Amino acid sequence: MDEKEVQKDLADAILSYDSVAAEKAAKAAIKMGMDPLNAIEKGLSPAIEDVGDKFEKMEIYLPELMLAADAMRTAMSLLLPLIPKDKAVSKGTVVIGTVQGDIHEIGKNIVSNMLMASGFNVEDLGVDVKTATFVEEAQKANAKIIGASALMSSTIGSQKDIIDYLTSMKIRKKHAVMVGGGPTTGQWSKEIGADGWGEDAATTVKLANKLIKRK
Amino acid sequence: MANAKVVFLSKDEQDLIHESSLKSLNDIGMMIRSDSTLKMLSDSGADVDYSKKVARIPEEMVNEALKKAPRNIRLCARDSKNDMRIPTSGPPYAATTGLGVYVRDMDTGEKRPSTRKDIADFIRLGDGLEGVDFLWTSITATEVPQVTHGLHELWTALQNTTKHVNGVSVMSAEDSRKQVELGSLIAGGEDELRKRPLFSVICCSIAPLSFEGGAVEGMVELVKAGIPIMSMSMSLSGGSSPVTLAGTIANANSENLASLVITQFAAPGSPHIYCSSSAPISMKTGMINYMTSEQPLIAAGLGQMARRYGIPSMVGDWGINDMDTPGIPHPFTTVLGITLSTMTNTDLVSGIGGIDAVKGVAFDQAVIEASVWRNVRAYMRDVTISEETIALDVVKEVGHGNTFLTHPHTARNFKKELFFFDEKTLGWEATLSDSMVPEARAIAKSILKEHTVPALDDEIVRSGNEIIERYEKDAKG
Repeated sequence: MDEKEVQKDLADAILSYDSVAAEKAAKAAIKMGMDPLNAIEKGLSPAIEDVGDKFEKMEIYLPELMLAADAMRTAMSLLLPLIPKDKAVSKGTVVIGTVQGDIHEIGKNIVSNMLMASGFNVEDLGVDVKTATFVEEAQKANAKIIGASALMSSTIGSQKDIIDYLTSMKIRKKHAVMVGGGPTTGQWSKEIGADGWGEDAATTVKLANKLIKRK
Repeated sequence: MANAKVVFLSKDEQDLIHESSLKSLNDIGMMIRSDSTLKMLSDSGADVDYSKKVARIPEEMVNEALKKAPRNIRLCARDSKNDMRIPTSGPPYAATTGLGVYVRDMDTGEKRPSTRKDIADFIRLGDGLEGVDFLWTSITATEVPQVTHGLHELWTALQNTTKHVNGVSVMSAEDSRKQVELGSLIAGGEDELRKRPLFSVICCSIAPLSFEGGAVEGMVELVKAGIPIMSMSMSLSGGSSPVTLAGTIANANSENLASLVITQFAAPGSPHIYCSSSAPISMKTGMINYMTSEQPLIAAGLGQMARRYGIPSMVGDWGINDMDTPGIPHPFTTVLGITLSTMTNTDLVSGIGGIDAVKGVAFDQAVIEASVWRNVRAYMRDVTISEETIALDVVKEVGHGNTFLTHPHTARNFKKELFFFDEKTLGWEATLSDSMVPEARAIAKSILKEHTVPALDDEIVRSGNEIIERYEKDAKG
């Protein structure tokens, strides 16, 4: 097999939403000594972008998008560790989680997957994440963006807490904060001084693309 | 008595859903993030793994819970003529929406964060609307500390209606204790509140198959005080439950049975209402989508399961506006779906006055939905089928080929037997006329201006405020 064939296998694995095939192709790329950057940039990335386009055009739906993202993550988890730190391939890091007191995770997972699929490095902190943890992890990962999800009107206040916490530590400008989830609104986002509101997963990705360029 | 219901599951299919739920609770179990609740279940016969926080609940416990649960529940109100006895046989009782975070201002048209003043107004409007039978607390008090928002909402609602109040927030055991203290002030003590529960509370499981710690401990505290609870499952097809309708129904049923086990072992015989707000997620956005053909079918299946168990239920919705401006912006097809969800054996429905997929409320929307509901519920009314109403004697008197119009039987019975739709409301609906929102707004304003709710005694209000203030201080520590 030559490099082109393996790159095609990588792309096909994403386009057919197949994590097993993605793992196999990534391993093949490593075994043949292909530059992992080539595997990503010429194999995986164009394919996941294609998937994103199809989703935008409503040719495919969330379940397919999520599976494609899973396949992407599987391959990336093998290839990324082989790339020297100075040759970063991601658009930037997003630290994401569901706020304290709230254990809803489906919406957050969709956003997390879509961000990852569109080229972000995503640190998913899970659910019921303490305010301080969002901030500590964002600093540790040097994340430009913090994404906070809240699904209950009784927990959306914790989104404000994150912003207040950043302000009190005088690092508000270091991390852009995106908020989202059922009871949140654009107005709520403005009111608490967030950098943007993700109405749904697709708009959140657009927002992240905007915020990452801002810095 | 005859009344129209959407029937979805056959007897065999109901059996299969029930057996699958038993299997689900016994094999997969419920994740419960509360050690005290896990211990109670373990002491009662559940197989508990504390490290995973999972309780596997055997069939015997479910059966015992079903045996203990009351068949009839009275949801009381400050004015006993507004009490609701469930199960109902005719149309369900209808409530306002919840829990939004903003109000669309009637004068400026702007959306603004909701406050206690808005809750007071919205609840008082509901109190004055004939199509509203009970009041969800409906909107968030966004100006108060997060820890007491639910208490403020409940307390404000109770002061502004003599109808039953349905709380939507339960955060912890202490929070529930405070809710009980507030209710007791009005009822005249905890025993009186137990006898006449002036409010009930929606306690959500989190699909699939889990409970948040504070919420479940709060639920236990409420049922110990005799406060009726609604064990709401939000099983979202393709998101928090299998994408199949059967899988969604079974999951919501399992979660309701798990809640029932918790309430009936914590407080045997405590009033428990089977509850769901389940629908598929949108396959484009991942968000809950009530405006689907699946939602009423899921509700119908769950309504049948509740009836099978003999437990009163709240599984239908009467909120016909998912957009953010008042009116009826949806096509016939989807409004029909919501309507069907109210015909599903459900004893209670909610959603009046909500906009923007429950994120906000609009006063004029409440008038529109309460008005339309007064027409729509006619489809669900009780109709007597008897020898007398079949009226063969009258047929004999009228004779072949003659008219019944002039027979006294018609004059005597037509107003009892035929429902007359409210023409004005029909006019709004049929034309999507420009007058719908302005007229609703005028009605809302006139009710807000003229309708009064008997105030609570000053001393009671003061005591209630103090309870909340103290709790706020303690929480700040």
